[in-house]
Amino acid sequence: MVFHLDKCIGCHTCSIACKNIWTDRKGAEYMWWNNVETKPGTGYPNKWENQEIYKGGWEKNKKSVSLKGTGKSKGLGNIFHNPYLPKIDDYYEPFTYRYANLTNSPEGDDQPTARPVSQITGKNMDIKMGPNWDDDLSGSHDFAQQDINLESLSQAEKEAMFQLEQMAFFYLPRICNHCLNPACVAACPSGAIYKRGEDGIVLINQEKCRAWRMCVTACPYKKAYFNWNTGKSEKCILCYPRLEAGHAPACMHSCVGRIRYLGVILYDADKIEEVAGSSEANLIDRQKEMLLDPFDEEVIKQARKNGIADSTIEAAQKSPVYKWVKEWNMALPLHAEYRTLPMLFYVPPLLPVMASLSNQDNQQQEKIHEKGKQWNVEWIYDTSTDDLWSSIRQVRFPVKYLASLFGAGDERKITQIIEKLMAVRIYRRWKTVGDITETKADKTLEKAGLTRELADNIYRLTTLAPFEERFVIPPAHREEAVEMMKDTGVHKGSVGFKI
Amino acid sequence: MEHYINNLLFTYFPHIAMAVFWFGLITRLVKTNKTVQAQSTQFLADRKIRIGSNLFHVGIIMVFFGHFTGLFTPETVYHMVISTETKRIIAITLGSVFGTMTFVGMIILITRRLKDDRIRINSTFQDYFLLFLLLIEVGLGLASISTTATASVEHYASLGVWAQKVITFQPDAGAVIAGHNLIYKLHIVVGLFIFIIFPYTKLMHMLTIPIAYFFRSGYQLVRKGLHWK
Ligand code: SF4
Ligand code: SF4
Repeated sequence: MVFHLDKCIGCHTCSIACKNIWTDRKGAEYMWWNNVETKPGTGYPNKWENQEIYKGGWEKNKKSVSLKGTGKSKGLGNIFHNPYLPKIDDYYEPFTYRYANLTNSPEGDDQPTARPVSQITGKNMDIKMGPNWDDDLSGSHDFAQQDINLESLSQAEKEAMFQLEQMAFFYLPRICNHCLNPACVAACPSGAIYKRGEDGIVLINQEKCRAWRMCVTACPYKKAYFNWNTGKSEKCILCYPRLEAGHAPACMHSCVGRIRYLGVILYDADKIEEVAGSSEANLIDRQKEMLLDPFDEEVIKQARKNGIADSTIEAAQKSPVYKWVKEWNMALPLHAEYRTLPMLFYVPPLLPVMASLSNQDNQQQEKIHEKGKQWNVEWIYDTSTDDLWSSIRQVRFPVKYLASLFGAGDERKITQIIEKLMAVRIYRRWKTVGDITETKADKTLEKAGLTRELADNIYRLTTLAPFEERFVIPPAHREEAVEMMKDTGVHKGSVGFKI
Repeated sequence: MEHYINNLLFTYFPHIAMAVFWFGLITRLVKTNKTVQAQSTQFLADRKIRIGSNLFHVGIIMVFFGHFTGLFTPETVYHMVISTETKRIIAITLGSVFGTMTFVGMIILITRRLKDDRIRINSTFQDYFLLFLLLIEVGLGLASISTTATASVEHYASLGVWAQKVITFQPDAGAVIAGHNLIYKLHIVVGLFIFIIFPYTKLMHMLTIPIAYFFRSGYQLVRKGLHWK
């Protein structure tokens, strides 16, 4: 999966699509398998990234990795009470409104109101928190400024960030990452959570879940949720019933900004343990190494040997995910340092970086043309200034901030991508607007390590790609999946007109 | 008549209880395995539960094992290590400590359940019924300690004899404790009743202790193959 953050408009359509299909039930009202948060912000559940509180994910040990807050011995000690479990109030108390009041109340002098009621107790309540309470930086004192990713910034940088004229933010849509080294799976005492062999979807078997809630703690992304009504944990199922029928997951299908991409990735599962335990600086590169080239003859041979269908290999070759992550090196995992090897990759946003440029360098202000002086905001995205490259490197925020999210702290990982994004823009500007010279366009492409052809491809996949290029879903081959679990011969003659 | 009731309650009733227990246990495990669990309310209200839940669970587990070893170890076996008198002292000490732990834990949990809106409103009849039933049983157990301490050693030892006669199907089991204090008898009857309802309640969650987990790989093994992301 790849999410292109520059394109997300923060409309929450994805969240609603998911909610309507999967979590509109008692006990699940508070769950947002897909949620969109404003960054900087503390997200949903509040401060989920702070593993000092929640103890999610893995930590490095001598051999490889071990779970931070759960697992065999740690989990057993907390079996009757789990101190690292987020509470409903860390998400929010789900509510609805007494809509019936609007039509049923007797005639009177006052307008009838629909009061909010708690979906847990059914009593009137004051709403104090919601799943996107800090949308667009609202309440930044309580939320945005508490963002743990800001810790790497100096005090001055932080202050600069929250001055009204300079505020920059972006949206971060999140779903379960369907990790390669899922902490939720390893933490489940009942063995109820598993990764599907055929497509890598991580699922919780509702028959086997016994309400230990260890997955909720273990998932560093807080994407496993506890249903307080059924006493079972639930999580994103990547709409597998839709996938099996060849449809994209609901969040991806409905995405207004068309920011989402889905495709097959072949990977070397034998390396998981080793890669998860590599040093923080290498984590992202090592994870990328695990992802195999679907055009490589050797890989194809081995894949066939492992019983992977040709149609799936073909899908891997057309995978938009492979292009973003491996071919173009433009997408990064979120918080790789949690060591779950997440398989949702993000193209980091260019716009907040550009937005914070104008404040970095006053010399730049001098150079800009008349119009730009009046409308500073236009200058911000003006690609015609010559010093753009050096200034991108100078921008402390938000590159540093982005690095804390997507680069495991490494700023170079972000700037490389930002330069590519910028180069494609400049190149397209030359082509369509024409106020940039051809030589300049070519020069910037070259500096970013791109060719015209590559830039065209990136441009196409970013803006024009239709459904079938954004979601390359191979036939499900359910027959093989079923054979992995059962001997089909046993079921011969067991259905039909049997009474 | 008294003899008849005594015989019914302490010779035959234990077998009836065990039959229902095993039948229920097996059918529940086979037929509706998915429901074998207890709810967790920690998610809704986290106050007081750490202390309450730990006191109660640790206490009651120890009490359970105490009863088990205490009642079913034959005299000849434990006499190789300790005298009946020492055994009684151990039983009284551990029983008081863990019994009190359980009792205190339960009081904390019950007040919490009653006081917190979120939990009270989402509690079922079964939740209350079990809590009060267990509270009564633990209360009776604690109340019997003074009798155990003051009565004769033979009086104490005969409780074990009774239990062993029951599980070895001796028809005179009931007679052994016919003359015992009412408090023991109530404790036994309520205890057997708990066995009867056990398979049909959330008490079944005891059977979900994750033993296999400790023998499982610490990682998740992914079948080699292809995954779409
Ligand atoms: S993101 Fe998904 S797969 Fe990864 S640990 Fe969390 S719940 Fe498990
Ligand atoms: S639907 Fe798409 S554009 Fe809208 S918030 Fe979700 S990810 Fe962003």
